Amino acid sequence: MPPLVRILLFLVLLFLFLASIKLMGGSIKALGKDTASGLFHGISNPFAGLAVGILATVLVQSSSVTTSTIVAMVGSGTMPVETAVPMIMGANIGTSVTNTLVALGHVRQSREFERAFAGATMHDFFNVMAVAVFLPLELLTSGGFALHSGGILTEAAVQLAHVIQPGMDLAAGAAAEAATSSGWKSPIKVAVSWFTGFVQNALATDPKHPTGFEVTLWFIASLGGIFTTLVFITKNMKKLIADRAERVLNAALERSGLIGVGVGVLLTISVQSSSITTSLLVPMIAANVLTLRNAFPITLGANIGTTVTALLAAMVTGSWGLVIALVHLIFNLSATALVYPFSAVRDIPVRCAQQLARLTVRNRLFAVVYVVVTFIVIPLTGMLIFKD
Amino acid sequence: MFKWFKQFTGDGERGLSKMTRDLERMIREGRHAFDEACSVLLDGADAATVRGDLLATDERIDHLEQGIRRQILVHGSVHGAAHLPELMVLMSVAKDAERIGDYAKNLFALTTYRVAPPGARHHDELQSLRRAVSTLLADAPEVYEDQDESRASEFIARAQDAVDECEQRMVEIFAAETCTGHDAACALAFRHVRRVAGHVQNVVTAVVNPVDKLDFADEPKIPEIPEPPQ
Repeated sequence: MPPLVRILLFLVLLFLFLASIKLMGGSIKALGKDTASGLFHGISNPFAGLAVGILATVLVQSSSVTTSTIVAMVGSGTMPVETAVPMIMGANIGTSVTNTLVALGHVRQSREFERAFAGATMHDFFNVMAVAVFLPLELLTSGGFALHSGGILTEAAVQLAHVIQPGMDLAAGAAAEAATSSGWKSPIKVAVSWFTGFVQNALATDPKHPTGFEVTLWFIASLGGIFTTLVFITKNMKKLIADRAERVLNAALERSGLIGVGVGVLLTISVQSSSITTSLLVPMIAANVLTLRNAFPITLGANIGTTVTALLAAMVTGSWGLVIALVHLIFNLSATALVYPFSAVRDIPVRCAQQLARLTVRNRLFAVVYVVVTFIVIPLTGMLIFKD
Repeated sequence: MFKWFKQFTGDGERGLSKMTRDLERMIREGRHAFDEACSVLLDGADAATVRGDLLATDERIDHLEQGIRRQILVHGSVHGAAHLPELMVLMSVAKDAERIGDYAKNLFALTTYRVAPPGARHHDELQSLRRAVSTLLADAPEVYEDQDESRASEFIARAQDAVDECEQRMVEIFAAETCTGHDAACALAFRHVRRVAGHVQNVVTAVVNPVDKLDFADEPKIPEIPEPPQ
């Protein structure tokens, strides 16, 4: 397929992705405030939210799907931002399961497997470290701000959102925001709203007063739309940028550092998937062509790059959607800023991953146990324990 | 750093083309190493001067081969199995190109015995083969790049002639009534030249042969064992 056609296909898919986000916001709003808040009542405990974020991402194998769904929910005013923050952090942890599964493909060769498993799990360790620092910080500082009951990350995101959209009124609810919005409207928002209205009309007899079944249809269509469009965006972009990605990765093999972070950001923004970026690294690490220390900055960059999907989704949601997308960005930037500059700190996830890989090589079954326990058993148990 | 990031935005060379360019550079470097070694062996060039250059050239060849291997891995990771046959071919022919440098070093090692200076026995035959093989090495990158089967077949036949002639010279030396140390060293020189011709032939057979048939062009022939006298 010629590159120009692929670019056009990307734009169409992006439009459908934004429409799906808008449709999801609309379908949750149509449930009514009480029903919608009832949905999220069980996960108002931050640890339950964190567990749901991990599980949801493991299930769909894409943090982009989870975070953009969260943005749609927060943007529609049905999910409180403070409930969403731990879920966003959980999505970060959940997304690292994909490259760990890729590493299992090297299980037959001891040395290769040891390197591959360490390369994959250093992402897990970094994400867990980041959550271990920033979730308590967010919780400890929560409640002291005027516009929300979130913590310092949320407040930083609110301040940044005001800089990005100077006229925004976060104090007004999402419904009030929609009702009072006037003046110039982005043509993208207008087109997306028109298309969403068209889909809602097609799936409901009276879109202003849809039945429960019709709202469920909207919701399923939106969730399917988000998932499908992101899968195809990733596939399409992977083919479009493959040659460039190859050149950049070839250059990053020998020197990484801050350039590696940039490579991770660029690649992930291009393919809209951090899992693709981190999974690409696994065979190179396994073959010892890319060292763990050179791969680590690329992984950090992938974490930052993946936040762009949520930011794109926030283009068509309410202002709080932008805030939660910015929380995702600030969280990943802060985690990188905390870990990367100091070699002693930077080595912690790498060393932990190497140690784990050594243990795993002695007993390969441990790799499967690690994946199941870390990404399913612990979050599931956490959800059951902390659920309200 | 910004210059470096241009690799992402610029048009740059595609992965497979870059690897092919690197392979061609390996062959050119191989030719340089072969010519340098032969100049000491046959023309009496200063061995001490050539030695350093030869080692540096071989190092460049090794570095290029390692680079091709890394690029193959990155290309395979990014593109999946889409170009698997091309990658396998490159992996194989890069090994052949690397061996050219090794045999040039082996030829150079024979200078200790002053193999065939002008006027010595076997000098003319070695000189003629040197010219033929050097021309093969000069033509190989272009033939490989063109991927033209008839041109490649013609090249393979020329390489085979060189291989056969080396073989013939070795047989003559071994069959001679008297075989001096000088003759034995020349036989080794013919063998090394034969291997260089064989490896460059292998590289070009990739143009006409499928992956599974690579590397068999220079298979050594086993002579028929004569009947024991009754």
